[in-house]
Amino acid sequence: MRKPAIDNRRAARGGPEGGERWTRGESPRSMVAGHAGVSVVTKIAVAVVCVAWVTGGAFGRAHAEARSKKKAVGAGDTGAIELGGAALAKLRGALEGGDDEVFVETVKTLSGSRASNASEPLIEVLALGTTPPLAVVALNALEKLAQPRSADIVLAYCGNRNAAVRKSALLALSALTDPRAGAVFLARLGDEDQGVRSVAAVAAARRLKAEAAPRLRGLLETKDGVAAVPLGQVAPVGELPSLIGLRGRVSDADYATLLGEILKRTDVPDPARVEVVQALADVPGADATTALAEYVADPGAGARSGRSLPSQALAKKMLDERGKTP
Amino acid sequence: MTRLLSPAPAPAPVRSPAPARPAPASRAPSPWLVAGLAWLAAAAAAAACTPTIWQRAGDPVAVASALRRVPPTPSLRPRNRDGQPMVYLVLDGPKGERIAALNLATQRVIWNVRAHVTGHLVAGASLLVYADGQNLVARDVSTGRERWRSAELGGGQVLVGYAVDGDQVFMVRRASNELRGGASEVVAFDGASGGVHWRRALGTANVAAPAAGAGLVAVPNRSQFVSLLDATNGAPLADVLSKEQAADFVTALPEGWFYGFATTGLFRLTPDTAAGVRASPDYLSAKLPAFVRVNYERDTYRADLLDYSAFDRNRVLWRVDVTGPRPRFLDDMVLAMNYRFFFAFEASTGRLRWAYSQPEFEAVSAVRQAKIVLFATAGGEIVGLDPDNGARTYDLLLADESVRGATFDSEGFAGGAPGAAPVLSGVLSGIVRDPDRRFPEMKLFATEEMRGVPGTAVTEELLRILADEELPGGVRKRAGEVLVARRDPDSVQLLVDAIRVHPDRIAGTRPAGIAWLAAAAASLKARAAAPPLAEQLVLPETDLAAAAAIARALGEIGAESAVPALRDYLCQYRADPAFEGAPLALFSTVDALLGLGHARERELLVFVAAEPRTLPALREHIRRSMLEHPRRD
Repeated sequence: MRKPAIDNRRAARGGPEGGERWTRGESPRSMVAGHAGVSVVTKIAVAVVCVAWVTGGAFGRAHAEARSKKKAVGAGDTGAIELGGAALAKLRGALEGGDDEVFVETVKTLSGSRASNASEPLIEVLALGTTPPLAVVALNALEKLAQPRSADIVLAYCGNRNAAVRKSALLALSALTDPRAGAVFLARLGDEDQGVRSVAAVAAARRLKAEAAPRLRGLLETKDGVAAVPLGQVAPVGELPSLIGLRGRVSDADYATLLGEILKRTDVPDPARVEVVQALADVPGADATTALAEYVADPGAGARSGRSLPSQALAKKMLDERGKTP
Repeated sequence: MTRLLSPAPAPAPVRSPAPARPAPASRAPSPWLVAGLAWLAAAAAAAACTPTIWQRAGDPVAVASALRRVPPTPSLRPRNRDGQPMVYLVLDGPKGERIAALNLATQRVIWNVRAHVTGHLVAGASLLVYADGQNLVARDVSTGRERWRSAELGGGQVLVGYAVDGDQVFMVRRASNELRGGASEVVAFDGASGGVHWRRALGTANVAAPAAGAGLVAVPNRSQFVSLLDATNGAPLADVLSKEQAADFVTALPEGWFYGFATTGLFRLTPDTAAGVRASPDYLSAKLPAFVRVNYERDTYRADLLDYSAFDRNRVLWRVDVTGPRPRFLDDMVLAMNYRFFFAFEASTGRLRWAYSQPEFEAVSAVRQAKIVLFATAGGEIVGLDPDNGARTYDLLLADESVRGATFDSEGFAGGAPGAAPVLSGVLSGIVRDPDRRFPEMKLFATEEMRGVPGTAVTEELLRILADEELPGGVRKRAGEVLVARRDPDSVQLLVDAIRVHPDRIAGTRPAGIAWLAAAAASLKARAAAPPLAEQLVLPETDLAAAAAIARALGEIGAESAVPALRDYLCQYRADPAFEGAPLALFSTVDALLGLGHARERELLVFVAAEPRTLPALREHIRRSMLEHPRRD
């Protein structure tokens, strides 16, 4: 069996609906195009197979090169440079061989190139499937490249069975602006793996802001501390009393982290901060002390409002009292 | 024989409250002992001239003669002289041990007295008899007053059992055991005074508890025999031989006499069963499922079962209809009583008719009567069930009482108006999901029984069982098997809804038994289930066994809409070493893709098989499968 070599850029340029990215009449990929609901992995994989199997490897490469040139003319991606067909073919060949070291080096080359079409071979290799460690390498490269065309394949790998792969896929997705990403981040907050949840929590907070708060809060209430910081960053101000009421339902450490994170925000009015500081002062342990200390030491807190903040003064007082407590 | 009677005292009755004490061994032999020895010597001499039990047993003429005393028409009324439906309860707990007599009709406790009870209560016409250690005690059924108390049995003697016929009491006791030359005897007491009417040696120590009624006393002995004695004088009338199985009980019911081997079956005592063989038309044995502890009666050779015990809580309840040409279990039904659960089985087929689950407290004693099934619970509840459908027809709670055992004397009582009959699916599901972990076999049975119960309610119950992670794996597996086997087309939407549940740590959701759901959907060719199944396939939380089942199901359903998910799955994991040890999910995916039969699926498989990183086992499977599934287009 010859190694498949294809031009997949048309697929990669496609919109969010996977089924729309293929154009009828483009043999041999057209046989996939008419299949409603065909996912990106499948389409890319089958396209690779079709070209390799039906037209043969040499033809496939030539075909790909031709299409690559055609693409180079009207490339819509934002890369400053674009890899030529021959270079791409060589890199594809290196990725599709059986040597893992070569694979890693090739991925480095691609991600370092910053070429607008550097993600294509990576998308292809992920679409055809590979081992989890190599998938992680490829996804990390896609994160670096942050090219919108990789959204479909990255989304597919967000549901991979391997937690390391999922984590890398989420990181790659968080580098993209795809509108489907938010729902995936929220879904993965319920992941079985804490590492995945952690990445999803940060990404969800960053992408969805206050919209992510209910799920983050739910996660925190399952005693998972990974949600504390992101929730503190995005929880609506109106929800603060409710968050203060979480005392006892989450660990003291997570509670202190959550409140400490709220104090770092600029959009929280000082009366609300006072309440947060008071709640924090009631929490025993180093985490609460650290949160108070960080707030007291935050030079920006008062400066941002142009005056000394009662909440900060209260925090200092509370901190001093803690110091006196044996 | 002397071991039986010496140094033990004669069982002379002593009026309460001064029970007789055995004479010290060092004293001179008592007149009772001398008389007993003389009597036994005479009996031994007579025995030498008469046929042995081996020779005379099984004589239908003798049995027919003995049974002429039994009235042909069953008397469906209580044994007590007033004809009141009564239950006698052994109460326990903080208030101390007591016996209470409760009139079921008036729901009033007639009397309640302190008593120490070590054997079942047996009711007669005017007295209630029970064991108190080595004594037999008789109380008046109307007042609870102690009438008499037998002399205490001597050392080495064992009270085997007792029975009451009208106002006459019969006791069997033995000394030592058969191998050591032990002996036994039946003693008949006058119910009013406790005086001894007669006594008869049984010629063996291998004896069981007696039964009495209609002027007969029957005593199982030597494992296979039942000796029939004249109740008036103890004269032997006939000996029954159970030829093919042991006979460890005999019982007198309104409809007749029955003997048998408690764990196998029973014979109606007739001249035909004077020598009992299982081929006899008078032999009864119900078809029962494996979980049922088959105990038609207690093994009456075992003196340790004389008291209320676990046997009374886990047994088979039965009565016999003798009106036809051959006897059959009444209503062709037997009841398996299992602590808190009752199952009514069709005796001839083993089919479950109804089931009943008693909440919270175990039933400690139960009885099947012609018109009602009555039981008492440890929590002080007296419940009556309609034998036809398990509906409650009687319910009475004795507040703050703890019941250790009960004896019903209420033949003919029918309870009140029946409540709603229990819904079988609900009862079965309740049994399966009951937190009591003691009965895994019963839970399996209850699950299995849902197979034949129609309706989506059963599907809902099965889905709940699948989702209950507290249940034993075997029970959940059986629920899955039943779900698949039922093939209920009305349940498709329920299956789809269950499949749509995605795992989520925050929401606390987890699809339950997704592999079984997939198989059930496949058995129904439920295309509506294909999209949610495809979603489940590509979820990271779906375990490999479930993924295999889903892929198989998608292939069987013939769901083309799921092809992309199948291809994605194959591509993403074809090189994943996590599948090396469990490649079935990938194999099933390949088979499903091939089964859908499109050229592009075959091309993908050709590539996957050739790609160097593809798992070797998968490569091999693809090659083999492609040969087995020739191209169709």
